[in-house]
Parts: sequence; structure tokens; C-alpha cells
Amino acid sequence: MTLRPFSPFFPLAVCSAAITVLWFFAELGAGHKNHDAMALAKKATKGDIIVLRPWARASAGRAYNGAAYFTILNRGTRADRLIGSNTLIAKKAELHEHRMADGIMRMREVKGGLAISAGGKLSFAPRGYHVMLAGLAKPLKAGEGFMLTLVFERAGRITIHVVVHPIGGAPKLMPMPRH
Amino acid sequence: MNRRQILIFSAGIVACVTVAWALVFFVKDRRAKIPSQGSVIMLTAAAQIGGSFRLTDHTGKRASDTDFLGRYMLLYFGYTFCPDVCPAELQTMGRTMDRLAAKGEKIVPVFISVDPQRDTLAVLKDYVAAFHPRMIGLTGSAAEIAAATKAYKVYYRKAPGAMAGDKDYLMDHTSFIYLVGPDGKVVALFRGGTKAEVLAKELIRLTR
Repeated sequence: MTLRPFSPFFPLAVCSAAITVLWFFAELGAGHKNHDAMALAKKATKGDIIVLRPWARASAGRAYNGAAYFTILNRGTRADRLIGSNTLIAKKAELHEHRMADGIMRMREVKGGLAISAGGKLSFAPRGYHVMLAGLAKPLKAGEGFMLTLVFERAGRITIHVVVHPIGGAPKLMPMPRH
Repeated sequence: MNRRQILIFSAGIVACVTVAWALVFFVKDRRAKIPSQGSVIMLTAAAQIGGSFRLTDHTGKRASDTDFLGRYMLLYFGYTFCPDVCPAELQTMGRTMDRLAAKGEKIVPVFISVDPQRDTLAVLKDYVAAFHPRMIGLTGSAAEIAAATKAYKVYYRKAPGAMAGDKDYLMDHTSFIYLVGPDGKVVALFRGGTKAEVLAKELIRLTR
């Protein structure tokens, strides 16, 4: 054997092997969740990017602003970045996050986009990241849908169909049996 | 290999695996996290908030805090141009009221606008109707809203970047659901993100 315990390469080889094995198992765990989502989801795929379950809440009354939510998966070996969004149903679509400090909710545009690591997942959900739809042309009605384009640095433009859910009826993921 | 070599070798392996595990654990966890789940904040006598307000409800009738004495109020401060948080919390309140059914009869869901400039009576009426048929929307003059929010220690402000004459501004604001007792005093606060099942259970307990 050329790899002897005290040669400088041996610990390095062990570390690399350990990282690979652990990452593999971590991915396996994530893989289960992806299966659940994909079984129930409407999804759009381009390149390494999958966008799952795009949805928006129906407008309350004449609410002028809305938000779209979804989950992004990066099945590739290189990181990507969500850098923008656009749609025809509102004056503008922006990537927003909530920053909560001292009980105060501040919604801010995410400048510079959002990174999604290789094999990673990015969730857009109420009270977290969301695409803010500012200046809706008309209120979003439950049961309807609209097209929303997401722009990725590497994957390019992906257009998704966003389903509008009724107030009081957001989609619930039924947990699948764990194998 | 002698014993000493085996020992060093094993220690080396353990160290490597620990480093690898730490890397995987911490790197993979750095993802978009939704703010932490809600929970109930009970108020002590010393921390009393709440108080009087004189506002106008969405039907145009004048409404003050004394109108609600003898009943509970489930109260939220927000604005109708809010894209995400306010609809989420009001939706929770509506669902909670549905879950409570008859047990919720003594509770009135109330929405007070921190944006009286844009939240007119007509806008408010359509807005609250979407969340629950019994939800009351309240608005008023800037001064009246300032007084009401002061009593409840509510922070609200146009988000930076809003320019004078802007009609599209967003607002920063505190986001809690308040339970006001039949004596007009705030019994508890619920942090944003509290789920309807949790809120309903707490309300049953607190309004017994």
C-alpha cells in the first residue's frame, strides 16, 4: 500500500471520503422530501433548476399588492442565482425578504439576487422570501392562475404557472410515508 | 503498526470525520429560514398595553374601545397594501375563528389600519370581508390612528425609499395578534407566524 498512515495525503483522503459519504447521506434525506413535493407538485424545469408548487394567495378585496411562493431545487453540480422576476399581471415583480427585528417586520427587496447551492433548495413562503407583485392589474381570484418568469444567472429564464389559492385554503403538503 | 501509531491513526480519523460532519452540518444549514414560529406572550399587570381608541368601522359607524367591553377582541394592526404578512396573519385569524365556531362567539376579530391614507372605508370593507364575515375593519384620521397605535405600542412607518406623493409605498410595522379581554385590557400577544391550530387552542384556554 502506498498510502501510509502518516503520509500527508492520508488524512486528506480520509476527510474527503468522510465529507463525500456524509454529504451523500444528507442528500438522501433531502431526496425524500423532494419526492413528496414532486409527487404532488406542479413543476417547471430548465437545466438543473426545478421550480415546485408555485402558488399565490387570492387577493383580499381590492388588494393592490400580492405575493407568489414556490420552492426552487438546484439538481446540478454548480451553484446558481435567482436574480430577478417579471410578470404581466402586476406593475412589477421583485424578490423580497422579511427582516424581523424587535418585533418589527420590514419587507425589503433582495438586491443582488439569491444563491442556490449545488444540490440545494430555496423556499419562498409566507413571512419569508417571496416574489412581491406590486400593482396588480386586477385582484387575484382563487382558482385562476398567471404566468410568472423567474430569471436565473445560469439557467436563464423559467416561466412558471402560478396557481391562486383561496384565502383560508393554502395548499398543505401531505407527508408521505418515509420510504 | 505499534500501539502508539494505531492511537494516532485513530485520533486522526476521528478528527477528520468530525471536521467533515461539522462542514456538512453547518454549510447545508445556511439556507433561507422563515422567521421562527409564533408563541403566546402573556402580559403581566406591569406590562399592560392597550387602551382607548376612537375610530370608524368599515361600515362608516364610529367605534371606540368601550363598544367592545364584555367581549373579547382578536386584534391585528396592518395595512391593505401589505403583500404578504398582513394577509397571512389575517388569514390565520379567520381560520382560527372558523375552528372555534361556537366557542368563538364572544370573540370579535378586528383589523386596525396603520395606513389610513390609503385604507379608505370602501377598501377596508372588501378587505376584511375576505378573511371572516365577522371581521371588523377600523380606520380613522392620522391623529386617531396615532392615538390607537400608541396605546398598543404599535410601530408603523413608511418603508425607506417611499417618496412624497408615492402611492405605492410599503410599510414597516410590528406584527402581533392581540387578545383583548372583556375588561378592555390586553390578555396576551401572539407572535406572527402562530398557526391557527395553536391560536385556537390558546384562545379556548384564555377565554374560558
